[in-house]
Amino acid sequence: MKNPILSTFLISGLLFGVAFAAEPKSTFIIAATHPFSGKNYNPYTGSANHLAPTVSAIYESLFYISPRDGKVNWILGTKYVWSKDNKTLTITTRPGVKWTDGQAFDAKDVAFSFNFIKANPALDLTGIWKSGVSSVKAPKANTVVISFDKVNVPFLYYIGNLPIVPEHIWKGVKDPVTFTNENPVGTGPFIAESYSPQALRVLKNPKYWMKDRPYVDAVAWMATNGNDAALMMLLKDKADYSFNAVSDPDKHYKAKGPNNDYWWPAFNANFLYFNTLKAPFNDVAFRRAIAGALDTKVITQKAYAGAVPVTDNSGMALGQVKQWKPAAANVLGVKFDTSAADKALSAAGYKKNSAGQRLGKDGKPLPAFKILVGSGWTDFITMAQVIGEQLKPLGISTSIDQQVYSSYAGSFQTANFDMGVSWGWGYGPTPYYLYNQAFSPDYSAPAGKTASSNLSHFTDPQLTKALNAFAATSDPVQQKKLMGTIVTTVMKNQPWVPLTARVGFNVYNRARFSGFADESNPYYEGNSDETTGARFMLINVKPK
Amino acid sequence: MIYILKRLGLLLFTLWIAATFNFILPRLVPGDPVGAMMARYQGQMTPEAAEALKKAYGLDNLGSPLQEYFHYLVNILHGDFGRSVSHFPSPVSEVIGNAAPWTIGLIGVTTILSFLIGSLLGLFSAWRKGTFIADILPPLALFINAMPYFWFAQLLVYFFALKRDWFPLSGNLDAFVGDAWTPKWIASMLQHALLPGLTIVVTAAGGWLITMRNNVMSVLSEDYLAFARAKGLSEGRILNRYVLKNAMLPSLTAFGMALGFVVGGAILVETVFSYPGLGFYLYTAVNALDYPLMQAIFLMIATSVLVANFIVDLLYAVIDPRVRDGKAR
Repeated sequence: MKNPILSTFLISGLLFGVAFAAEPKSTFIIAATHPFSGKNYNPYTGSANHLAPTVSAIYESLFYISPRDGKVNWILGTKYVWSKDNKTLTITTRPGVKWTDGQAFDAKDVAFSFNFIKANPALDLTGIWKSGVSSVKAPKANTVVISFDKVNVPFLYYIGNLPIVPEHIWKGVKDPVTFTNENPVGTGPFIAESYSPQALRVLKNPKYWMKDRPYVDAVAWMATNGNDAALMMLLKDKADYSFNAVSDPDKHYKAKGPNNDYWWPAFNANFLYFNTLKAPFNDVAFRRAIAGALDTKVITQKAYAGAVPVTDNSGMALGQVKQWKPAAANVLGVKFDTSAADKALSAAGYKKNSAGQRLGKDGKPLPAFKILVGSGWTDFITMAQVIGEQLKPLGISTSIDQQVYSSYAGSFQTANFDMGVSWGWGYGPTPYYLYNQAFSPDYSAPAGKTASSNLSHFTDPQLTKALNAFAATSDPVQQKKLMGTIVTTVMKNQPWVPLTARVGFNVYNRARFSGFADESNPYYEGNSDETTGARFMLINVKPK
Repeated sequence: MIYILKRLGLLLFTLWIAATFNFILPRLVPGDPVGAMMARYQGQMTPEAAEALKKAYGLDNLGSPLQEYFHYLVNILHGDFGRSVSHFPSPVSEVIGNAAPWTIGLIGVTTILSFLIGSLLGLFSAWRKGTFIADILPPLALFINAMPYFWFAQLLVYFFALKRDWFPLSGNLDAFVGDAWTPKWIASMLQHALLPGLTIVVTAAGGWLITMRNNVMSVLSEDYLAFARAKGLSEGRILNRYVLKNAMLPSLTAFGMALGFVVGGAILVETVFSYPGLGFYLYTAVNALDYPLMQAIFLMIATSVLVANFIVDLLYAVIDPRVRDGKAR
């Protein structure tokens, strides 16, 4: 052969042909956009530390409440009942489920799992034992009783989500924080098989309790070092799925092949947060005037090239608007109208000087406000640019403040910013999760101290009361009424401006598999393949 | 002997300086890994969980900065760099142990290859000055050498991995290739190493070529060569005993440095090809604020550059008698 490179390749190709004969017949391949962490199958360590994508494939939880529609998907649980005072939750567990080592699963494993993270607070990352849960017991082989000393009905979402591990293995674990769980035993549809920093594979669990699932023999995750490299794998038919924020997915992906497709469902929103501890953002009239000067349609279009919808002005996920937004809220949103915003500012005491600069209440020109975004996050940077342009006619100047992740988050949390673009830090099956994490005093802090998630540092007594009352009731009528108060209070006070929807970036190559979720069949909310909901994709995709 | 001891003392002193800087620098950066991790959980992590994590990372009970410093020195003498944050709970030494063979294999072999190829071509181009091939080499080398190598790497990826399926896009092995050192494994390893290796050899050889050619040219103009020719020595003897030995000295220093930098890996090449060597891990460690891993890799780079220099110094003593006698330098 003339070409030595080509011949090397052909020889190695021959060797591969032989080798792949023993491989699983159908492997669903996911292109990850980042390298994997070390070999760690411990589902309780932080998601940056364990092999996050494998957790939902190997371990299961009691149930999964879809943030898309609030529907309960039963997994290891089959039923739950609240006591009259909402302080006792009784859950029935699924019969006939086996751990992958052959032992039977029962309610004792559930009680063990909850008490395991109680004994090891470093593993209680969703704060289950900090949110009112006082004890978890298994009085019968199929019954788990969870007691609360403080009523917290929405916390059901997190309770349903805790991975359940087998007591007979985990009771012997000495140092749970550094335990890497090399041979994970779970109840899930897949069994861990191989790990390298580049590739992960799980094989089908032949004894899975859903008899006909999963359809695929294996799922593999391939590590790449970024969105572009992962997209390349999809374009070359080397991967079937990637959670990938492609810029302009219509042009750069969908148009390039008949099997190329994407599903970007909205499950949250991106917001412009105001630092309400700081003048002039502590003035609601000022905040509402800013909101009136922002054309969110243009912002969304420029940031996502039409692949992401404009979000609702209440901030709740688009799918929740119909059920939860009160009619009274429809007139509360500020309409986009630059000249009205200009007038409103003047009327509120912020005059313009002869040079067209906006003045503060003290008569001095307002400083250039910084808009905080993550360093290199092109979508947020674009939003900040457009916001800056749209505020110019008001005589307000801005600059973009790019910071690396930890200081970006830290600046928000310690109220060391003017305005900033970020997502809703809480989300769940009802808008409660969003509003509670964004505006509860529990998640706020004075300037300089770290607020966990109340980024605008905004609290309001009426709002707090409604949030607490919402958490204390399981009555849908009552919940709806309280949500009305929550939504209208937030909208009147405008501590943030909802800018764009926040979507799940599901990118598909439909060449080899069918059964992907999409608008016609949205069987899960469409968040990343590293989250619990993604298990529904893994068990529903089917080789063609 | 005194020369060697002097060099050794200098080596140990600079190593200590490097280790000390390595201790101080990360502590000047604002923020800490646990803070970064709490931020990543977006408020879902309780302060108690953060406290427990600190304990797990070994960031609690650090004592005074001075105690911490001596603790650090003792630990690095034992090769203990703590646990990696981004690969928690793996110890840093394990992460490095997994990455180092790939970097040393890929970058080490290609650095030696490009040195040999480049130097030979440089020698040829100077020695056979006037012939067409010898004269076309230097401008060609300058052109290739001026090419940013990540750009060249991306060209290779585009033409040979994306447009044609000849080579894999990234990584060091096929995904599920099984045990090491089987024929299948070796084939996969070579196939993955070829494009990144080619990038380094092609872009680095040009530099060696120019250096060697310049050295040879300057030696060729020396009086003692005219004298050697006048004596009627054979061309081969002149080349080996007079030209090569003298022309090699500057190249050898640079080569020693280059070998030292092997450990750092070619960060850009490893990143373009997602090749899981030390450079790639350094890049991910910086992104994840993984200070223990960063510190360990930096210290390894510093150590290997210093040790490589030390070895070059020793080689000088072998090649150049003036150095050995302590009359020069």
